[in-house]
Amino acid sequence: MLLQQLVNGIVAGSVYALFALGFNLVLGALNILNVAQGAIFTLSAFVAFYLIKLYEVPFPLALLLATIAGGLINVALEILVFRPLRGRGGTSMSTLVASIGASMVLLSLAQKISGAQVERFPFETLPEVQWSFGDVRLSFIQALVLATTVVVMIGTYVLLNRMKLGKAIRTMAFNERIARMLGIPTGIVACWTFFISGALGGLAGVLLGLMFNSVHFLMGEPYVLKGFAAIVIGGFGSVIGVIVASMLIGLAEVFSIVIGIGTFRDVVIFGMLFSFLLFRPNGLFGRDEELRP
Amino acid sequence: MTGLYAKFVSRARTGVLATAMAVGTAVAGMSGAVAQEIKIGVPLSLSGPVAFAGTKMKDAMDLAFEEVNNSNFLGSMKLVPVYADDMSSQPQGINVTQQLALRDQVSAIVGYTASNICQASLPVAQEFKVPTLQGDCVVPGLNKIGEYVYSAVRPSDSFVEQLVAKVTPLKQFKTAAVLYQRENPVFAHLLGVITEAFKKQGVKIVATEAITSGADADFSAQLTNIAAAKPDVLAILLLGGQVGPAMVQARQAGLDTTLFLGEQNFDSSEVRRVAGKAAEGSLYPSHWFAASPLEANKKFVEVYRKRFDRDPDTFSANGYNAVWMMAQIVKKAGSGDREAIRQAMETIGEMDTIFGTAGKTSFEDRLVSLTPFFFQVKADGSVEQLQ
Amino acid sequence: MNWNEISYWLVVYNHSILTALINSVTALSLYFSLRAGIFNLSAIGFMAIGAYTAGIVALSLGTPAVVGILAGVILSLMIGTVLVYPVLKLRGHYLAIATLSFGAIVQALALNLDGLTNGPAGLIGIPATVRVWHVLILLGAILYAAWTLQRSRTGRAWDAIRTDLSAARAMGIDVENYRLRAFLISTALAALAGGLWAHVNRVVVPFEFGFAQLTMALVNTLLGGISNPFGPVVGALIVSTMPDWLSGFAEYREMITGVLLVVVVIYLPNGLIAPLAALRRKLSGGRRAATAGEGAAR
Repeated sequence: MLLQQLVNGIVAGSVYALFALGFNLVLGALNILNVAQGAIFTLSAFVAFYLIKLYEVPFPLALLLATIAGGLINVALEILVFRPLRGRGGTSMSTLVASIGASMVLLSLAQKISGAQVERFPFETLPEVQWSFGDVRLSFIQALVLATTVVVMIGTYVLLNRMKLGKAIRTMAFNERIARMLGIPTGIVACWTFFISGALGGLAGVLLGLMFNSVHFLMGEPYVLKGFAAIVIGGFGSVIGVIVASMLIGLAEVFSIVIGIGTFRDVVIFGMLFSFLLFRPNGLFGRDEELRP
Repeated sequence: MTGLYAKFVSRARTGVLATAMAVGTAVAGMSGAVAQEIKIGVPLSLSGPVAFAGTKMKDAMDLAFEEVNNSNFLGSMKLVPVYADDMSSQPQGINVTQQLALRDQVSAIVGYTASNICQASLPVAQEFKVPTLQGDCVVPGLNKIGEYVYSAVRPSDSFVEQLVAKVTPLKQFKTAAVLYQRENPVFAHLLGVITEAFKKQGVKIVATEAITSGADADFSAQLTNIAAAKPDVLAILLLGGQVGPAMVQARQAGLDTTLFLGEQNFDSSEVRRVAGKAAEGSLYPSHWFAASPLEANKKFVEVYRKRFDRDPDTFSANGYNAVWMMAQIVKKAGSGDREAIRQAMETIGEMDTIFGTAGKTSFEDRLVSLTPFFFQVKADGSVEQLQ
Repeated sequence: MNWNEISYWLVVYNHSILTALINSVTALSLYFSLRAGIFNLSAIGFMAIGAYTAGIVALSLGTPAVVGILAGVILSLMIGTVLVYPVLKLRGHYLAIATLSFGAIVQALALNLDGLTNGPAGLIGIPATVRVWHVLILLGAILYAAWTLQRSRTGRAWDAIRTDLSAARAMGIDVENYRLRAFLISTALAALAGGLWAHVNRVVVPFEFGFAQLTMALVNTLLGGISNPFGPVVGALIVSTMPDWLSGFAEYREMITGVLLVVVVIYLPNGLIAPLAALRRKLSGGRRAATAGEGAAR
């Protein structure tokens, strides 16, 4: 049983990781805490759902389209909201608030579309296969989530370390002015950053909707706060940190249920967050950032 | 609780209120037409987390109001619904109640969606002496609020108890587990009820697990825990939108032969659609189900299907039923006067309803009395009524 | 509008008005921290503590509302004092996240500590003894205090800290002390709002003290703007009464609020009150401490 719970925790953590990676990317590159990531998560799940249900689009294509949709919505936010704000001297506070406003708009859109009902992907969407390894069961979708997370991890590493775009993003994260002086087209890089971030969030949304058989307009809510926790615990700007932290959060949740204090999970997770902020504000793997005033 | 406030209200505001009433009735009198229009306030959760239930209620209530008026059930009196959105929030619930009572001068109130909003808003309706029939809140205690507040549904306590008593010997349960939602007082309360019911039947509770909130979708950890205890039956006390996923995940977690047991919301279309095969064998009580053979219900389902292109669920039924009950009450009262309506609620005796096995109900202690159906879900998704 | 009609509307919209006024207090709680440059989002957490304390005291001891509300404020200040030291060491996003998680922890505790808070069912039957004029007087007092503080040395210190913390420190301002004061004032006001809330809404459940409510409080404060204390109040009044004056578009309320928020944050960083304040400045002719307007956006 414990082994199964371990698997449950890692799978849950993987979804958190996919979500938080997107979050972290925008935060690191542009110093924007984009609360609307939760709305993008939700809307992408809806896009995939309606594509499959109404137009009978095959799953892999729907997944791809929904992921792209997530990216595009995020880019739209950058162009409509964050860029004008940066141009007018927005602070970290005002960008956070603007993202909250954007999130409200997107979520009320989702509510209107779905009529506030809970939906489920049609049955034949994925093979309902389950593998058993002794005591442990792993369903197809769970395996898919794990595989996707690994692929994304590798992809992110390659992106940030081997590709020009990635290096541009990292330079921007370090110092935007220097990046501009080096001739990096910061506007375009910012758009790409948002696109990738939105795509990751969207991917997480679709996978989650599939895995837990439910798509509804409030599904993103718990993920935003946990995304925060993942960033803090993992360490600002660190990809590995975010992933490890997400796994930790997933496991912490699962094991608080195992030992019977499951409903205190918010206390556990945010207690962890708090402790890190107090004693190790750089998180597990964070670079030395100016965190203290 | 309300007494002290009421005293304040009457002492401090008699003059103002009297003036307000005078202004109000003058205005109302001016708008009087040949058909007497009776305004009925309908507060519902049309946005926010509980909107999935409130919007269903509204659909069906629209239908019901139309039927009442078009069929001339009340003769020259017409019911005019005044809808208000409480936004799934308590302060707003109190707000709209107050406005329906004072600004819109409704003759009566029918509606409310969520239990905590009922708890906050009904005392206000009582204070303003507006006869109220709440149609969807099943948390216990609402009938104790006052003589102006009646309930068209009742807590599922007795239904669930009866179900457990009925099926335990039938299915020979030895062990049971419970999965419930903590954030919702109705389910937290039912936990106690069901645990007692099982114990009384000699069934051992081997696991109790909680989901924190109505927005949760991942039950794998809790279900893995439960699976380790291998219960014969699993009681699922979650929101309708969570029940389906819970069943599917339960099977995935290894609860292959366990039967699921729940309360009314097992009957919503969402559950069967979402759970599919996993729901086979599920047991639940319901004061209503879509295929109920009652004439009045068959008509309702047909009309609803034609208009909304889907089957009605518990929330729709609750809404529809509440409006029709109110219509009968208004008929007995003979007018839109609040006192007359309150009197009518107290003295009405037997009423027609689409609920229950008998199609008739009356108020007992300001709650409707209902004989529930008991159901088991079959392999093909249809339900079989247990005798 | 004659007196009869006015008093009629006052009676009908009584609860609306009370809610709007209490939301103004919460908005002012956020205001003090934001004014000093502290991105403190703990308001709803302390509001919950204030509400539950007031409720528990009123229900178990039967004392008048004042006692419970005061107890809530004192308890919150005690907790706030412990919290403030580690929290104020953080900056920007991190402070926001830390205070946000404080709120989440409080909500989770309220949900689970059945013995104390009655868990999900919450506290029922709290006497609704708080009146509009009570809150009006309190609000007036708070506004007066805020206005005075704004023009005093404390206010100028806050402005300096908000504009550039290291520069302020270099100028010899006791940054830690002033930030502490701002944080604790915010805490007290939030707890006060919570206590009032309990005695107006009669039922206190964990559900009502979450992220959604925090969002609304932020909207209230920022819509009005933090350039002067009337901003949050204006914002709160507009937004809280929105269900009433926007009744035709009820389903678009969230969307409209979201759009309004984005537009205000980008194009009117000093909030809706800024044009009014600027007008007032022009009319009165004199120069006022210019830092108030400029600093607010940063």
